[in-house]
Amino acid sequence: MSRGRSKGSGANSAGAAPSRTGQLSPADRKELIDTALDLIETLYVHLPLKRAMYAVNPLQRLKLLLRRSEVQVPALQEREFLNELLTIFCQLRDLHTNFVLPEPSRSRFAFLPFELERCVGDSDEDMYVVSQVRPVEEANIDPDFHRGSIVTYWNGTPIRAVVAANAEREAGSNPAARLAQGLSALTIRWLGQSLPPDEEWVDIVFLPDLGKEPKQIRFQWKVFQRGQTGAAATATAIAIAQGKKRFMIGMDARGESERQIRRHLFTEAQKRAPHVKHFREGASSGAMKWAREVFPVCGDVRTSSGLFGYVRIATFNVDDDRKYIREFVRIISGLSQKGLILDVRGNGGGLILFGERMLQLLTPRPIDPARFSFLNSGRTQDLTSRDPDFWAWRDSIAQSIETGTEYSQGFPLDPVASYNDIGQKYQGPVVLITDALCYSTTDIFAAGFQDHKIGVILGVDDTTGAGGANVWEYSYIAQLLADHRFPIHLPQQASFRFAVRRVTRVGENSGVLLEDLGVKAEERHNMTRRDILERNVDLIEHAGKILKKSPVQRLLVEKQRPGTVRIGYENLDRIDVYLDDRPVRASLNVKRSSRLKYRSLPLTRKMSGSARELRLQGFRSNPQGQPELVAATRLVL
Amino acid sequence: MNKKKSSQMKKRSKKSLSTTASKKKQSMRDIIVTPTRQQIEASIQQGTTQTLADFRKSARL
Repeated sequence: MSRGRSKGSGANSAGAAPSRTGQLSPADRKELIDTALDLIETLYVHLPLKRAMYAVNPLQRLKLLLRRSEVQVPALQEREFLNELLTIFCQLRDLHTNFVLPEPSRSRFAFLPFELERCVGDSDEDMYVVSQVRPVEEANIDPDFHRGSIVTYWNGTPIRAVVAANAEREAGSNPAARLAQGLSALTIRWLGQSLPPDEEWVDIVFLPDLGKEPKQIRFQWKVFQRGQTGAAATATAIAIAQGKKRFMIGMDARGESERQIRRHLFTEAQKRAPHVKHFREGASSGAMKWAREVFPVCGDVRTSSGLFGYVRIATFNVDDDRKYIREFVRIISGLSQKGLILDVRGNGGGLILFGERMLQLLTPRPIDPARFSFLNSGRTQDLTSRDPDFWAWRDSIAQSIETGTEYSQGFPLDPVASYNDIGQKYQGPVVLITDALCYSTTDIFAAGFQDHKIGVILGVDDTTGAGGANVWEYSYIAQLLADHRFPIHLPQQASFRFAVRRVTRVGENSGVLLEDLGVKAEERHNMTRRDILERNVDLIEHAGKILKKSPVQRLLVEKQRPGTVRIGYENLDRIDVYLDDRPVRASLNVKRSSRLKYRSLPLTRKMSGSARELRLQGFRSNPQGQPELVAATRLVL
Repeated sequence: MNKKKSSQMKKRSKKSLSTTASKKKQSMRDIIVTPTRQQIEASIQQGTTQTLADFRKSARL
């Protein structure tokens, strides 16, 4: 496709330092529109889906914007131009595919000094409760406005209507996701992906507490600017994965940026979170300091159904999945083995490999990873032929000339063996807590959790955020294309992100799309005011009730003395033993017991030969009398 | 003697080509910046705050 794109000007071509601030020239605007037009048409994997689902035509709208930019008198204002470009991307309702505004916006965040969360009151009505207030601001605001205050009006409009209107402006795909995004954007906005709020302050009506008289308060919007020195200031990416893993990202970049800033703005407020009885966070069960951003809360939680482990996974945005997986294994080994609550609410994703490789730790069954497909086009054929990592897709795309199919064949991002190289590390039942802010890698993680029947998904919303794609930064695409028409730096450090490989599910949901559909929760929990104020006490109680219904089993193995291993088992009927992939002997029938029992198994050097690994699989008969694989363990020889 | 010279020249030219390619690759790596967690954290810690009105004036938005 040739659009007569202008060759990257000196300031923007590869090798030249990008200018940091300033207005976009007419040539800059044309360059941005041309790039968007080209890549949306030839690379954006969800274009056919979005056209069908939302009846949108981003290509025609971009062409109209180009025309207006060229002929309109007086010329479009900068704000009008950027707003239209943002709206075109927003209408795709895809948090993966976006336009990132140039400086001075991209390093800034507009925020109000408090956070709001939605919960359900005693008479089933929605309530919007203040969950945090910035301590540095507290001195200047009415002391009646605090954690637990209930916001009822926002600039004279009922809060529910404001959230609904804001939801329509946000790019969330399904209704639950839009509502969650609309609420989130009410108090913090990354100016790299949205224009500053029109109003400079907001007037709020609130109830200091349930049953108290309403009061009014005014807050000024403030703008936080990241430091402008060092590599992060000029970075084009939000994801921190390096090398080849930069092409394995699945993340809501805006959500992740806002999470980082929110964490900074509310650090002091989080330190003041009340100590609650049901949480037992010990030094032994907490994450190492370097991993606390990923696993901020770990510990045992006491519920009326028993003591269970709890781990919050705040983000999958990591540089190296292996070290975080090792840390997760260490954390869960120190928690109650009676059941595990994994809380991924608000997790906008990150490195897909990290999320998908975590699944094997929680199930005895082998993991069948999600499949990723490109849009079939000349551009994707060109791209996939440029790096051996994409050659699996190249031939399938080439075949589409004959078959006329719209998408390439689906392949996992990494060889299947890498999703099964560690095996099960937690054998108790698991509950996964999700919400509509879970996106991309977290969607893929939740889908894998459901498709491999690992446990029950308990949602505080009906579905997850429904981001089903692998997203590439524009600069990486430009680097792969190595074409002068796609300079690595776009004008004024503006940028794009595109969903380039769509995800389809596996197992019983084989072939089902994640995008726009998300993962439906099997059980629903309506957040309560107590949840917001007392560290999710009702939510954890609900998860405990689910865990209590699920059977607990254990299967352990350790070297006992030369030629013998000791096997520990609980609540199992049968154990199969393998050396590497070969069965060692006939199945070992054991008596089912609710206590951990041990027995020895001879394993001479003659038997093990050159095998590197002893694998055990534990089975239990289901109510129909069929044996089910319920636990697995491995021992490196 | 001539043969030796020509082979040396070939070697040199190959070397210079590969050096150019590697320099080009290196410069690409320098251009595309992927931040580390520490760098992101540092940039946030160095952050400053202003009012929206002040930002509007300076950004002309």
